[in-house]
Amino acid sequence: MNDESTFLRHSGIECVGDVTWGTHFCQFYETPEDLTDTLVPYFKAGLEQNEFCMWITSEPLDHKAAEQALRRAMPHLDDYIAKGALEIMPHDEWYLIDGVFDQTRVLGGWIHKLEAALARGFDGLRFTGNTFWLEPGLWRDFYDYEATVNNIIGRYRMLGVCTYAIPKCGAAEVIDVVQNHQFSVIKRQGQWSLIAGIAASCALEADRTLDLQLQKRTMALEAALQELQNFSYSVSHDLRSPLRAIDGYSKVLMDNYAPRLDAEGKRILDVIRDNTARMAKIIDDILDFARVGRIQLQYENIDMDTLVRSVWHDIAPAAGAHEVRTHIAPLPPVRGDRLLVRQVLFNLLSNALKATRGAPAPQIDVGSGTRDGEIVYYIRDNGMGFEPRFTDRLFGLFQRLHNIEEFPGSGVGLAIVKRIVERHGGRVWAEGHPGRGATFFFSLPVGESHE
Amino acid sequence: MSDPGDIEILLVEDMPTDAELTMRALRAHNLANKLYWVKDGAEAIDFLFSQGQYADRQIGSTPKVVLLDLRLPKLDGLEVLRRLKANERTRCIPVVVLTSSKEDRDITESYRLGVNSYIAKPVEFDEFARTVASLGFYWLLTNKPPVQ
Repeated sequence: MNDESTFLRHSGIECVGDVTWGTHFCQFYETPEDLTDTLVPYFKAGLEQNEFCMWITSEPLDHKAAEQALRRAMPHLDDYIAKGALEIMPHDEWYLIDGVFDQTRVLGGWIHKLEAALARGFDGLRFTGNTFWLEPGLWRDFYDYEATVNNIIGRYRMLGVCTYAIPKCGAAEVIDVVQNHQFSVIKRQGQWSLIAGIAASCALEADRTLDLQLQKRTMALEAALQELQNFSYSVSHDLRSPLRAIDGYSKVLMDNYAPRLDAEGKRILDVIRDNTARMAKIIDDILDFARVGRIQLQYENIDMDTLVRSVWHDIAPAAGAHEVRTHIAPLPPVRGDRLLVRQVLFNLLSNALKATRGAPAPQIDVGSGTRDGEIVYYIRDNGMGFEPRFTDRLFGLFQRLHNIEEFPGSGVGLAIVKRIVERHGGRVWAEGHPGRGATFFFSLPVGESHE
Repeated sequence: MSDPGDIEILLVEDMPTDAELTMRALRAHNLANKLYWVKDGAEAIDFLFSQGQYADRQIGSTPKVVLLDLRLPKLDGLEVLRRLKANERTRCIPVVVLTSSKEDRDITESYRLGVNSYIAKPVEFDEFARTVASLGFYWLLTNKPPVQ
């Protein structure tokens, strides 16, 4: 699962504060000091937050001067350089090849750098570009390029600041620049301050504020959820001990005081013990439910054919008196967490087995299909089925569509199935009719993990 | 309860009901004759190191097994385990964690500290009684402890 807090990054620039991934802003400058004022703390913050940093320089601050300035602020800069966290390069190596600016190539270049950085374990890409090299004739191309960057950067774990030299910008250019960035940083009366973009950029700024609020809200929700999970875990945990006492002491009463109890007294003790057993099962299932929400998925290739047969082999003996015909079609392999996918199959096959108890010719079929980049597996039975209008409730926690004698269980099994499948980026659904059986479907994405 | 000078099982358990059920299960197989029950982690340490209220206990006499709950008042079970396994004299005493916790981190941490066995107490009494009896048989009769 993504740690939501990683979406918020310290920009390092005081007047900018924290920003989210996908922020693209600009800075107007006059002197080399203006550049180091903002870019040194910007990159220092990036390096310290495990980001891959790219500083594209041009006059009047060349790449050597940039590195020196950064080194003064970060005595351990060589450690970051050694692990490949920083690239400082002159603009002509990045923007221009043979003196030509090709915006597709440059855009692709950022994305390529980002992907390489993520693959090497960095959290994202922080960059700056400088436009001192822009010639008037190139301005239109660069305007288009900046507009494109502004539109797409929100989708990536990137953070970009473009620096513009005031002496080289006319009024029209300033408007273009401000419009094409989410906000601008400019020096006023010796202080760096932030101005929101105009027109379209205003909306982007509002988006950004909403984004920040959303991230904060999400973080608060994540924390609350975590707390709730810890709470349910510890409650379930502490319930086991008194429950053991109830069951244990009922047993002692049964063993040692049986002669003094009549048939009704013994029946009542049996009821007590049946119910402690049921409650113990519910507690175990809640613990399982909490656990599948918390654990880290261990992705591997799963041979579904073998897994289904092995699960069936474990479950079938429990069928006891009722013989079930099974048909398992060849199943394609999939990537997922083997233990969790096993639990999905276990829960669905156990349910199918429970549902066919009492059916005249019980049959369970397992099969699959592929569509839109996902594999859909299904388990079909010809058992008691369910009311289609209750389909939505099937996968809810503690939702039961049948009474406990018809269909024993704690009402947690399908909630666990849903949680596991959704953690894999898949979906669950079901079809059924009373007395005509049920089919449970789950899909798992083809290819790489979603986590 | 047996004389603290000569015991085979040290039961460290704060819940009186769990303690009683454990002792019942052992007694049913005559395995509880030399059992001593302490109710928190600090008392367990005092007992095993012959200090505090157990200063007079003969230090050379060690139990054949310590049944250790994890959630304990004063000193928790993992800390008791850590101290036992960190001490040259007590590290050879077999310790079995007997707890309600099935939490992965408790299991991992117990083994990391050198526990000899980890058992999650079943809620259902018949199963609990079977589990306790079998571990009693194993550690008192089957297992060969180090020569003292």
